[in-house]
Amino acid sequence: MTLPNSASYGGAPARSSESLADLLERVLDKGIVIAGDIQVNILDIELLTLKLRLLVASVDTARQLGIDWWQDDPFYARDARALAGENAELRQRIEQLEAAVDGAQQNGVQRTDGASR
Amino acid sequence: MTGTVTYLYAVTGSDPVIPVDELAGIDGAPVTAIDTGELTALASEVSVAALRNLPEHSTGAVPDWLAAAVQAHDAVAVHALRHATVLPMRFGSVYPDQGAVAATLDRHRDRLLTELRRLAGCTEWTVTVQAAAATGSEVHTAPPVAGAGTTFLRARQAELQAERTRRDQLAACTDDLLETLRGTSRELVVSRGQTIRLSCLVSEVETFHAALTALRSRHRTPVRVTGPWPPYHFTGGLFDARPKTGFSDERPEAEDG
Repeated sequence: MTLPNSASYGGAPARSSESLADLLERVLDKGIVIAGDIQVNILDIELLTLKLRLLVASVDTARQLGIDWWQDDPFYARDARALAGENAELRQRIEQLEAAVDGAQQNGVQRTDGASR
Repeated sequence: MTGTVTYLYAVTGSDPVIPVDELAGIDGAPVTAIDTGELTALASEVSVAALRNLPEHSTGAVPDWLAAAVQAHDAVAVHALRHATVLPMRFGSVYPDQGAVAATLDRHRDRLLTELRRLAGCTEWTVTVQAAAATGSEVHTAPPVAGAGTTFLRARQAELQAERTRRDQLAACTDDLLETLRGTSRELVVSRGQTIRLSCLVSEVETFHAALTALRSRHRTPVRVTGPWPPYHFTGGLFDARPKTGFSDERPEAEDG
């Protein structure tokens, strides 16, 4: 997900668009927290707040572990694609080497067989 | 509890007045400016059911409601920033009603005003460098290809050399960037990971961008800048009237510029 640029401020434009991952990184768990001075329905209100914070924390943990949703981010997706490409190359290389080894063994067996005759 | 609660997005001073006539908050709810004298709270009503229906944990995609809510939260704070110094609240700050919001602002008036004065004229800018970013076109980055042994080893050697070059360029750029930003930011928060992210509190915006433009001319490593944003990273204090609860108030390594 790509978000629109913010408006210019102080004479300087926003330099690039921002992804959802960037937005979450910038906003979640930042800013002022005021707690402990609500006297009415305190339990229920704080439960709601804590529930949000729990969710945010779990999302943030997932992000830090590098799994799931942030793979949509073009920056991280590029790394994932590069890694997948490298893995594919390595798998292909292993198959070629295994085929070469198999071929050499077969030739060796034939030569050995031939020598024994 | 049923119905709605009051969601607090941000706090500003009372002058200038933030226009909120066409400003939409979470779930498209109209944003209200709650005037408490010297301070103004930007808030809207949020459905309790919407909050209750959120999953408590997520190891999959960000729930659509949450993604939209975070965008709305930020949009209100960014809107306020176009007009005045703003103190963004932490995402998820809800109160029983507008009266409770006003009472909270009254209770913490002195500290909030001090924060507004400290951040007057400042905006936050995000500077990121991808640790795995590609470098100049002359650097060979193709993966090794299958072939004769010598060809394979040469390709692998070139690959390793390219990686060393990239790391050297990244290190040089990062060192230069830190020095540049320390000189042009009032405060700096550095977060290192797969992405090196620097959150900068900036008062001299033109100087800040001129320094970054000069830095870009010195390095091949891509440096990305977004902003201006409300000073989320620089308003992380916990205003608590009682002993600390389970709320986390951790911040990345802070470097004063």
